[in-house]
Amino acid sequence: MTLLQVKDLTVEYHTDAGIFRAVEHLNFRLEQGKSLGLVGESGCGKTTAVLAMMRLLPEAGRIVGGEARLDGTDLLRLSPTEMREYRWHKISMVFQGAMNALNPVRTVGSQIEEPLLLHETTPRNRAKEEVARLLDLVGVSPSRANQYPHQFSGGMRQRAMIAMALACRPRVVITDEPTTALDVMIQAQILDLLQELQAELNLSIIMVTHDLGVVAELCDDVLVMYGGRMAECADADTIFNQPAHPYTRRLLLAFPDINDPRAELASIPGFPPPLDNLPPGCRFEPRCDAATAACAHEIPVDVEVAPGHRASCLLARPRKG
Amino acid sequence: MNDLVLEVNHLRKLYPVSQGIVDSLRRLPQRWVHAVDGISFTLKRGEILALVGESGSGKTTVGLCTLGLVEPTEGHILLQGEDVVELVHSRRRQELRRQAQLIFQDPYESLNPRQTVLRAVAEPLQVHHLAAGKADRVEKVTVALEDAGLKPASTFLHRYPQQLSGGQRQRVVIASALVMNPLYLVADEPVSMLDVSIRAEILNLLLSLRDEHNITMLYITHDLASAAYLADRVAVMYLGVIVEIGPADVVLNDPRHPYTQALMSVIPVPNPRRRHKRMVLQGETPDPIDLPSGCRFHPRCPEANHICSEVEPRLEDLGEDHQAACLLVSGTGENGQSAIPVMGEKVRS
Amino acid sequence: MSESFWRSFVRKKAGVLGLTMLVSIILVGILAPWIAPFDPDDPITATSADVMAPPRAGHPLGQDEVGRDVLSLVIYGTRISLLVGFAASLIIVLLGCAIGLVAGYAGGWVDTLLMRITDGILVIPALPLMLVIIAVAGRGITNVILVIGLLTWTYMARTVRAQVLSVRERQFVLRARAIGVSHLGIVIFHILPQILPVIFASATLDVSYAILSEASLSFLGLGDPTLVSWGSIINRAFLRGAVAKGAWWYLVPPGMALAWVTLGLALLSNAVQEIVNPRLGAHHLFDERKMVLLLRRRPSGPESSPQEPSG
Repeated sequence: MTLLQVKDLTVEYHTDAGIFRAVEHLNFRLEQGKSLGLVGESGCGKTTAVLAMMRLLPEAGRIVGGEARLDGTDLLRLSPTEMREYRWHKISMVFQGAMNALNPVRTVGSQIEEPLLLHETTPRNRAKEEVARLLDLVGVSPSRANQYPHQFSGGMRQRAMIAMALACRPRVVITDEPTTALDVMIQAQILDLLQELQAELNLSIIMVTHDLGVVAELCDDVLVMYGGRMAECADADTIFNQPAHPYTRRLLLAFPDINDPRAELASIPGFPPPLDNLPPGCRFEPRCDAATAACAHEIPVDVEVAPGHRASCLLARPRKG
Repeated sequence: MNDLVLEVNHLRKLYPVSQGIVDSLRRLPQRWVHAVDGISFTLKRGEILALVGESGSGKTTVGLCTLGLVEPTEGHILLQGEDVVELVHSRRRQELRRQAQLIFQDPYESLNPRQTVLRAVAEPLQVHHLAAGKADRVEKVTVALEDAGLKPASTFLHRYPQQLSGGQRQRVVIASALVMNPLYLVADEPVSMLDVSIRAEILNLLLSLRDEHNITMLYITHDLASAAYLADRVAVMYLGVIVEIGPADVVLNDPRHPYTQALMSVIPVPNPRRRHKRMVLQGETPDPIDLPSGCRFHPRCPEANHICSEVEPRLEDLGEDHQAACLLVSGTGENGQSAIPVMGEKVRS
Repeated sequence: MSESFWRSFVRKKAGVLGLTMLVSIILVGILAPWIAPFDPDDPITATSADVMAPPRAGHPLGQDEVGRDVLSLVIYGTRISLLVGFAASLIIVLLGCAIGLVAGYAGGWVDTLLMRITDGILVIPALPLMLVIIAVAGRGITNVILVIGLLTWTYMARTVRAQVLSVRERQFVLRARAIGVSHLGIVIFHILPQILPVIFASATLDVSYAILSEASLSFLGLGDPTLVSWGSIINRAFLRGAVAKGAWWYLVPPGMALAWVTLGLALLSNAVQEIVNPRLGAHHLFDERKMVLLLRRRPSGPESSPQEPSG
């Protein structure tokens, strides 16, 4: 069943250098107990989109349209007070580089305790137990709750951040680049952990990342973003094996495959569009090798290539059979 | 003729762990960080060797030692037959710097934000007196930038790093190394901070540099996949030592050391249909201070038996220029060939 | 960098105000002979009616105890006060930077030695030490400048050293080393440009400290007896009983002039510091570089020149 439904989300940044559209008309669904990978290059708007859902945009950010319904309630229309009830309780987030954002002068345990005390009115004596339980859940020995962040390794700190995100038993957890800057073995551990947690707690996860390998490992569904808009959206198997959008195809070709290590890695020439100079038509057109003349002027609409598989490309056609 | 560009012999680098006053008063023995603990390898001209390992393996320290930027505690490094440490302390230090260059991991930090691209790439020319005047400098910088893929170079000359993307900055760094016509290049995680879609370009650029300029390279990374793509030979490091080394396709098709096998198995495969059982090691790489007894890897090794905690394995020859340091694969004893079942997929050759 | 620096600067009204205040008082000093109604060095032609006379026509700020026009005194006093202030702070900046750079870059025993010297001077209370030295060395403007400069460089040295320590570890410095740039080259071309803004911000505060120190010394009667400065005006006012006579016009204007300069410098320094220390308003966008660069250009906020995010 659909837990989170985002329709037409549009986010702008208002600066004195102008107004920039970071996210435009984004639509997607998150099913209960499933994980959705939000994939794209740096600057494509994926972090902005999730921050908008959490209502944690910086001052210059403005949600100018759309809705994000979690269990029927539109998160974007809640007042700040109401949103405080939702944030962390129903939907929480592990921020990018979060493992470096732990307060160095407070114990890890006290920092995990903080959301418990702030949100759930857990009595103090129960809070410590709960912290121990959470640490155990993420694979950190509960006796380490009294240690300081510098005594934790990078991987352990990331686990602590995950524990913090789970503190109020949310339905949805958003992880923003959870494995960047971690060693490859620790990355694997964290991904395994997320998978276990998803199964044990029936969590729904949105994973924001630029790394397709992570998505292939963990995610059930994938949304590929480019230049603030959706490029393609489908379940993982389809995205990797039957991509319909030229960007997705090029992205897959750029990814090294250990089973064919010498296969030429293709890169995508050019750069993502700067937000102050967006192409008038399809955002990917300047770099697309399949572009037609129309692509430069017309904004592509979402085409339903197959049930549950949408691509935003003028050349996409529904698959037969 | 394949001459040896680089020879590393029994390289060790130890850093003292700073003792507090209390500990020194108690006369506790000095503890050491065994950053690099006995590494030997060679590099032929035009060869690319990948040094693969996680953080704490010592790979970056090895790279810096080969450039003479860090002085080894023990061992010798010979660049074209000459001892690097001696060169650094002699009047020929600049020559060393010109011939042996470094590319860093963080494209956002490796360029001086107050220097234009032109200044940044021209700086080596000025330091080494390689250009005859300003016009010549601009000319050489232009050539280097275009070799590094920044065309047309003229549009980049007067830009500041902040105006460039990560991939472009990395190309500027590469250009500034190229402009000196180096013999040897150390690339320390040059693409790990770039988006996956940009990595290919930079890796392809490095390959073309080797092909066109015959530059010898040491590619340092934690990513076996890019090592497989780029390198002729691969050396896997763990806690300061090489645990496996050999030609790239041999090591990747037939990893013998359990650590290499584990690393291979956790490489993400971009296809959910091919999700396989991964050998995810528990725990983290320990600090290289209090090293485990015997084989350094034994506490995390799924195949370890009691001998592994007593005897430290040496690199043993497995044929085809392939060596591994593991008691369970060495030689042709009763444990002879592949006593370890390789988990996960075999890489096809 | 300077262009975007100026663009950000002009947006900070407080900073622009401070700069204006500073420039205006400097102009007053430069143009003193033309704008002051009287020359304090003119022979005194005062009558008893002129002694500490309150403000009236011809003397908007009244007269001092020998009938000289207070306004002219204050205007001319600007020259000495500012001269000492800037000269002393020049010594502070040069000496402080040199020592801070060497200590921070060299490290090891050089650093320890220099820092212990610095600490030694820092620890001694400045004003009493200045009094003693002037009392021994004699009054005179050169001595005043030297004494202030040589005892105050320590703060700058510490600041510069701290900055150097952090810049030294940055990757582009390692790269410069790898290329073979000499130590001097690294310090001048790579480290110094990074810390100049901080030096500037600190220097503006040092100028006001120097001006106030001169005023204090003069007020205590240790300034140059032959020259008029704001501090010396206040000193004479006190000595001649202006307080008892209620001659506020004699006491207040020099003090206000001091306040004007100090405030102007403080506003300027604040504005520069705000620009120089980027405040990341969006920590969680740390790695989405494009987003962070964009957010720098906020209406009410930090600089528009994108710099590396901190951390």
